[in-house]
Amino acid sequence: MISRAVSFDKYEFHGAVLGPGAPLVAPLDVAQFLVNGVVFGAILGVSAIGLSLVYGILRLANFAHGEFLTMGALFAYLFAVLQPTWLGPLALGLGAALALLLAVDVAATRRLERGERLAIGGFALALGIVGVWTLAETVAVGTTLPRLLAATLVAAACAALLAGGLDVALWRPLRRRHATLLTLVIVSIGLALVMRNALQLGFGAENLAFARGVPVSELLFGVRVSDAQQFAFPASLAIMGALHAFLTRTRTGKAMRALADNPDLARACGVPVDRVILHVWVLGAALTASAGVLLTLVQNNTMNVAMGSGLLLPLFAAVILGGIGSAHGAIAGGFVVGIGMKTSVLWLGAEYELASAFLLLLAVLLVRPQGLFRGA
Amino acid sequence: MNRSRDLTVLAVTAASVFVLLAALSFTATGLAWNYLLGVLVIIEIYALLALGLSLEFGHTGLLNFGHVAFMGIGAYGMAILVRRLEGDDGRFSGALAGATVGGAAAVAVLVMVLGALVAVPALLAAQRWLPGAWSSKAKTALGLAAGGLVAALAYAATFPLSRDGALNATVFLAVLAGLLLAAVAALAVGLPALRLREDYLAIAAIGFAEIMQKVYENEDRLTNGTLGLVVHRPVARWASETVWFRDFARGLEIQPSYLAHALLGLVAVAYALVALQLLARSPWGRVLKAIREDDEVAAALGKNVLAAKLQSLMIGSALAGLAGVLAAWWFGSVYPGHFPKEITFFALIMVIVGGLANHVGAVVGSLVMWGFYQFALNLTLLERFGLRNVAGPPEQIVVGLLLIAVMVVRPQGILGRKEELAHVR
Repeated sequence: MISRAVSFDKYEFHGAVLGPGAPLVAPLDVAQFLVNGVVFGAILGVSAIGLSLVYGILRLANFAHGEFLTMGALFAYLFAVLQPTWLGPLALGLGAALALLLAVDVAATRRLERGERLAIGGFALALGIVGVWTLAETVAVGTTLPRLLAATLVAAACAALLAGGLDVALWRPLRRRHATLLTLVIVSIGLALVMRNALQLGFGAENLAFARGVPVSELLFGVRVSDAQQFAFPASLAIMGALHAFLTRTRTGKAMRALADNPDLARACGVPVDRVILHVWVLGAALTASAGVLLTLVQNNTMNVAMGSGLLLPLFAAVILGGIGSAHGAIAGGFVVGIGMKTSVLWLGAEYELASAFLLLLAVLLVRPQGLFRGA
Repeated sequence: MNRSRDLTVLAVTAASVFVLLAALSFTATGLAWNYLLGVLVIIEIYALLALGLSLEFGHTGLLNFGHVAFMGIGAYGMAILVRRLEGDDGRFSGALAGATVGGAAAVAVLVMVLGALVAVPALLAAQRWLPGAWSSKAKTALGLAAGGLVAALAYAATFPLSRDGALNATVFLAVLAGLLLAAVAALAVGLPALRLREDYLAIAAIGFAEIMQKVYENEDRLTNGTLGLVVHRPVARWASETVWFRDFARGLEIQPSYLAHALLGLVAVAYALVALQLLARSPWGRVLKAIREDDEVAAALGKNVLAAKLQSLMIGSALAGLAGVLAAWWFGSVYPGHFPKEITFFALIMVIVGGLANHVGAVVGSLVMWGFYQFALNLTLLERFGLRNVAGPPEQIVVGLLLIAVMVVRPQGILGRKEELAHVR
């Protein structure tokens, strides 16, 4: 069968053609949307991890989570495309600040496991890349992939720094006061309002792009896969793999899982709660910010200030689907919601993608409120 | 609860907000009355929204982040129904042509529905006391409900008599349908979400609001997409066609429609405020507060927790629907941009700033918040500091910071009491 040449950026057109009342759905179209869904689901999963861990540990439904995704994309745009003159000093200062924080953090840890030394080494390596990039920045022209990678790294570091600072300045005092669930949720809404509008003040409300041009795609078994998808999917998988190793091999990762699973028990076992929570915020924000860049690439290279807050519903659906507090569950939930949303385009049309996420969420709430991947 | 103190605070707040705004808008030609009345109308619409949230959140502990969806459903429901009943020639000759006896009967049935909407909570409140003595408050609540019913019936009785009877009946029907739709939508969202954790409702409701936004934008045949619908403006029409009222307003150099809208909003807010206050002090209101403090205890005492939560959510959403109808009449249109999700958060901030678990506080909060917002909009100082003088990021950043600050520093708000804050300490 000849491909209908449906690329991921043609939902609008395609949804109109195969909207409600369409006589039949070709199997190849299903495959096409399945592929789109898998890629989108992987990105959704990466950005849902932080939300799920925070939700599990602090019992906080963080409505500002989407803004970290927006921030990641927009800051990467700032570093990769806009490149203002103050950027070099900023990147250096940021690198120095992060290195300092890391040193303080390591000093506070008495014993280090091999895995943790590896993690810290990897992070230092990343910082090194940032330093080299800052130096090379004066000669490079245009948005190339290495430059985008470096920009993503810096953007993720910015988001991580902000999340860590917010934990220390805002969330920790509220925790000390035993603030209730609803207080935390309302504060997160206020924070989302502040972050979104601050970003809008800086970047405006229009669509932005890393690069303009026609997306290149390639036929694989009759399914069209864009170069962005070819990059974003393995990148998401790599992030997930690294995260899995971190959560299962390192002391901090294990402490995170223990804390999300049962905070009281973890505390009783001597887990340094405040420090681990700080790490969860930092890790979650960095992952979400990177996912923001990947999402921008996949959605035809467009980003705007509303992109993160618009994803709140699928993100929460993924988290609840996977079981609150479970990072692995969030990844699985991300795949389910992503595939559900993109394949629903075939039946509902592109404008109601969100509705399928909503229906999935309601169905789970009614049938299995503890999540699909958790015991009762 | 100190009623006289609350009302004093309300009066002082209203006076100071409007004196400040008046000072700001004082021009060479005198006071800008139309501007002030316009601000008042918006405050009244927000106050209705905030009162709905005050019942849901302040009294029942339900966090509804999709309040604006129910406002939109009320407005769109009303607008679409009026449009459907309108003939091709623009005359209202559809379902209720000529306001015949049959039409009046149909209206009467719907009036019963409205009466039931008001009376059911009051009856629920009273029935728990039926074996014993009837309290004066329960009687007052029932009286209020009956009064509303009689007033609605009396209004409906004028349809066959007046010149625009068919039009009035159509609009009346459409408003009822809009409010009912909002309440039913709240039931549909609340039923799956409310049986579980309290934060699930917040997630489900914000998602529902996003989807409603998509529905407004994409269901062209119903909503005319992003262009929206022109809405028939009964209040403005009444104001311009009623000679004594028109002359009275023009005598004060005020637009008649502005004055009429402000007065109607005042009546609506006062009615909602009194009704909600009575409900709050009824046994039904106490069940809500018990649920807010600890719903397991309330369930153990034999209260139907889910039903009470759903009732609270439906009444709050019907109020939001009413706010939507008033907004649609005021703007003369419904279109997706009228119902952004920020409205929900603004209303929530009003409830929190004014004081949780206090309905007067919700009104005070809307006065303070919207007055503050208008003030910020008007302040030319912003421009001097290089910021744009349009609604947008700077104001919203300040509003978000205000919310965080209130939650951290004084979570009980202006009129709230610390003892009532077990759920948001």
